[in-house]
Amino acid sequence: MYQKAYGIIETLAPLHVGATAGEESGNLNLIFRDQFTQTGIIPGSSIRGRFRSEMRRDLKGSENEWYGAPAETGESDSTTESIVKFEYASLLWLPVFCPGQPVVWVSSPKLLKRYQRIVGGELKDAKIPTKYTGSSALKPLNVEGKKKLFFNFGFLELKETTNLKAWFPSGEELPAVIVGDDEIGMIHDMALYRQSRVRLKDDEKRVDGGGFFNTEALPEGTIMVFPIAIRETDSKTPWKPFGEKKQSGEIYLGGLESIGFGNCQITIKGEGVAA
Amino acid sequence: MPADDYVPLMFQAQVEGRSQIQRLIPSQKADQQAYDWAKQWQKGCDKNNVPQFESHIQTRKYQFTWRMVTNSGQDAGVIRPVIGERGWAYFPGSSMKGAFLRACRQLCPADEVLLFCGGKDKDGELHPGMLRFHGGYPNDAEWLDNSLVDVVHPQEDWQSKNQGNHSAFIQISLHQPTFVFGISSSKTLTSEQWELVWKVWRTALEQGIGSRVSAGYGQIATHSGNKLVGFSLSGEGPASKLIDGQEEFRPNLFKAALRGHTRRLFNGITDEATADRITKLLWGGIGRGEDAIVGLLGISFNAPNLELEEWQSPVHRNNVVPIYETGDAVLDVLLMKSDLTSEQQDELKQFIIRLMKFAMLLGGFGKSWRRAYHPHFFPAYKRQLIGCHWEFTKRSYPLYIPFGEDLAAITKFLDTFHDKGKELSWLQKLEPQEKLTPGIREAWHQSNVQVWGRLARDKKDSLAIRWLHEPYQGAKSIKHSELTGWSSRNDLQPKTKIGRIWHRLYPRFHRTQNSDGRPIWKPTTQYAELLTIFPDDSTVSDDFLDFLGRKPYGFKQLWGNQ
Repeated sequence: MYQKAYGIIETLAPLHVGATAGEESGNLNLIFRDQFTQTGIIPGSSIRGRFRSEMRRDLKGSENEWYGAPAETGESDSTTESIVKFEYASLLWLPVFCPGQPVVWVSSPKLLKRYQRIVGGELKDAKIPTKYTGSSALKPLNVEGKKKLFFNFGFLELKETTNLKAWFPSGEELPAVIVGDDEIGMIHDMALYRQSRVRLKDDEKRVDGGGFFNTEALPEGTIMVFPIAIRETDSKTPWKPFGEKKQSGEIYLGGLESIGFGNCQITIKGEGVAA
Repeated sequence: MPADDYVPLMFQAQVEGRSQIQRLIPSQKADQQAYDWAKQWQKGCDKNNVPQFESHIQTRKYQFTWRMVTNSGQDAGVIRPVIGERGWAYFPGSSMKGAFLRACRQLCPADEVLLFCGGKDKDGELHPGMLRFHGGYPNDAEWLDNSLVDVVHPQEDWQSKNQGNHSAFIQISLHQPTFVFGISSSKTLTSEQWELVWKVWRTALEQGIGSRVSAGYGQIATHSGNKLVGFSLSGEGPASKLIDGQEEFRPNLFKAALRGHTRRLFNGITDEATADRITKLLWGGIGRGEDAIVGLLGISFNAPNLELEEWQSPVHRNNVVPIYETGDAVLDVLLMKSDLTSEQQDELKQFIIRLMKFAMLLGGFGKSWRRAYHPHFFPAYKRQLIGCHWEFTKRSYPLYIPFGEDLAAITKFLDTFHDKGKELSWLQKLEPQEKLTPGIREAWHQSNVQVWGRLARDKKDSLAIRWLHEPYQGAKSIKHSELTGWSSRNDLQPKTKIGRIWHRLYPRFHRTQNSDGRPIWKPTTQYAELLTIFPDDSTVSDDFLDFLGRKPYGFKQLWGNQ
């Protein structure tokens, strides 16, 4: 039997989890994307790796028990099954800069559906809002009697507004809008934190030839969700990744830490988590 | 109104008919698209929520003495800042790391650089650094106003070549912002290590951050490691105006003046291409590939007591212009590269000192720099505000040329200035000058310029200042001639013409010794009244030089062939 839990990630800084070679080309450092919605994801392995390294620092020795022992060279059967299993984190709400708001959080029915499945409980029977539904915290433009929003490069006409509070893990209803599953990828591409970077010469402020590359990252304020399964064990101590009585903590995910990327707030919720 | 009219200018392409923020249409005054652009930013930015760093991040606050800009590279043809969280101006963490790394390499041993910033170790293995650079945000929303719209107005060709074309461009930069920078560490650092980290960051800031640092952008008040020489000085004169009429003292005028004089000097020593090259090597220049040169020199100006006021003509009440009084200020000339030998640095320092002495001897800085300050030396003239006046202040008194009654010391200085210029040949081989390049108006060469001077008793004893407004002898006048130039005249073509004469009153200082033999500098009420003339073949010019040749009121030629 497994106990179910889930994690909510809120990015406190841009988050870059790089795509593998093959997906990225030339000097563009892409983030890893879900193949259907084309929105950013964090692989379960990246999340597990970070949890493991935090535990290796704080509770050295117990990381192999919780997250599985790695294979030893020359020894068969040295690996063990992990107790805590992580699935990939998907996007729940993506902040998009929008003049006058100034930020609108965007999601799509498919992303909300995954969130619904992971959370279960009260949300289990909730009706997933249809596309072009806005939250009640939104203040749309009035363009000739129609409610419109300006997103980076285009307009979106709202079909209805409703209370979307239930769909925010924090319980706080933010200015938000639902767009189609076929559109979220495009909006996501425009809303990413993008930076063109140049490498300057060591001894003078001039571009070092060829030192030009582009980085993309999920912007600050992105909300993501990932499922966790915890295998039942004989152990009396429950899994407490953030220490006693803490369900939430700051953790660094992804790369480019040295230029301020990856700082995230992670909150663990669900039945498998000791309160 | 179609929906796309609601698209903010920031999101429109930089093409004709859409957004064109770099474009300045002089006839439209403050009605420029750049102001609409800035207003939309003001409206869109979440002003009330100042970006805060997380609690584990250490922060420090620094104020910039003038403007600061980090080019976002977002829009073609215009320099504008990076926009970060919720519309706030932002200095990126990656830029911060780059600047930090450069300073760290100067201050710390290699293993510490590796510890802080990461990189390859001796065995070629890559290590991550433990510092995280979170960038910087302004500490309040004061930067977010119309002062964002900045003008760039290159005048090199117009001032020193043959009145070549010149036009102003718009750039968006932050005026005197205070930034909070954040650094955190993945490992716990001791308080001594943190002190070192912030010391390195301060050193990085002292070299200027962002764009246009050599012209005084992105500078804080102190410069410890990269200061070549500092000058204490104060000045008064007409202040610059931004497009919307807002007055501003713009420290980039120092670089422009020193660069201009550098060009004048070398145009008198070598051929045009070499003079261009040396000017670029010293002060930087743009171009493609290797033609883009980071200059050896930059400036930073700090005037904590600077005041801007308005001057109103008592005769023409509508004639109101902004004026500045810098108070006791410091102009630092900075070394922008660190690979010079100490001999080269010393030569460069001596060169800059001579260049600055020259600028202070014969002209001024900024608007109307070719004329003496009329409110001081010709108070009866009330129609326009003309000229500027700059003096060294106490710590730089020793830079005054102490001259006697005969002004011979000035001649000697000008000889040295010209001769010593050739010693910078380590920068670039000097091609011998065959004859002066035509088209260069103000080449500093014996055959092209004449300096005339006399001793003036006091402020009121300036004679030449009147010759710019009244006949100098009988009906003979140089007013509004090719020699003096003119400005904003609708009846003349061109409307504004740069003259061929500079007029300056240079304070006289005595050098004496105190009881223990140390030199002390004593100001006097006297001035050297100096006229610098680049003669042309016109009758006005010939007549005026004939007149001076008769040594009126003690005028005599100090430099140049007759």
